[in-house]
Amino acid sequence: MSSSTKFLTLKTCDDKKFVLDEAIAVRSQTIKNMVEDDCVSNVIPLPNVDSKTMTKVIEYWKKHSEEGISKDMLMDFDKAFVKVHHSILHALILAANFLNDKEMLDMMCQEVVDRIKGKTPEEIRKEFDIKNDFTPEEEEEIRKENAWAFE
Amino acid sequence: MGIDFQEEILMDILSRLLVLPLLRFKCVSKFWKRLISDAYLNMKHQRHHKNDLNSQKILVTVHMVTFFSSFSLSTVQLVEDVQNFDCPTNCIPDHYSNIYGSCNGLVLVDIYNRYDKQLLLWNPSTRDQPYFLIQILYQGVLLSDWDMIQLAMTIRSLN
Repeated sequence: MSSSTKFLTLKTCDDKKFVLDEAIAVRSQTIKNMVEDDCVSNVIPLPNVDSKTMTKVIEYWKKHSEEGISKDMLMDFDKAFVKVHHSILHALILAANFLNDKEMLDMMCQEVVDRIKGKTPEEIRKEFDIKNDFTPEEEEEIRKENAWAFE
Repeated sequence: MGIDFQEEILMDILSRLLVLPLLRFKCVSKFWKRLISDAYLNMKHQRHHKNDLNSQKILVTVHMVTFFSSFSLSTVQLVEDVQNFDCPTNCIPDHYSNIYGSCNGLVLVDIYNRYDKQLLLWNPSTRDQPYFLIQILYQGVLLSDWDMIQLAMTIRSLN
């Protein structure tokens, strides 16, 4: 490791600290902006990310920063990476959004799409814990208007 | 677990869905319906799927019949993905149809018989009721094919 390697300390909302190579941490546009604006003192607080989620994010960042890693290996890694319980997937999306890592956010959103595209509205409500606020008549009306989509 | 995605993230996810699940998800909740009907989502959706071969379709009109078939451009789906649509309006059976042009998924359709001619803007993906553009009675001003092409070009340039 060259002597110019700089380390950043990230502090998650549950008060856990992560020490990370700056070159890796700047995969987050949010952190990158802070570094460039020189407003990084000792510790960068991440008020919206917990340590469990951050561990996964850092695992992803490190793998994607490995030198000489092949595209196929990365694809296999990504495939396995997104196969998590939906609560973790959702936490990762919120983290990727807060950290502003477009690549990661993109991959996670696509995974949600692959999971929900074949589902019924009832299954979607269950998955996202959404309350159906239509009256039965209103719902029937929408179903009628788009009947062919329900065939 | 309750999921509270920010609107922007949910929009991103929804914009990646194909039209069929999107229409189905309109009845998830009022909030989802509002997002799915939002013009911004339409724009994002179009941008996302523009270069996707599965989303590019060939629309064919059968001579002298108000009946359209659509084929996907993707070779993988070529056989399975033939959709047939009836005439996109409640017109009487002796009408014929023409496709004048298309742009951004909208099709300019011309439905006609001996007496009148209707120009419709139609979105085959959502199968919404077509937007009625103009009805031309042959006894009145007669538009030539050239006029129709010009009209199609004008609509194309509008976006």
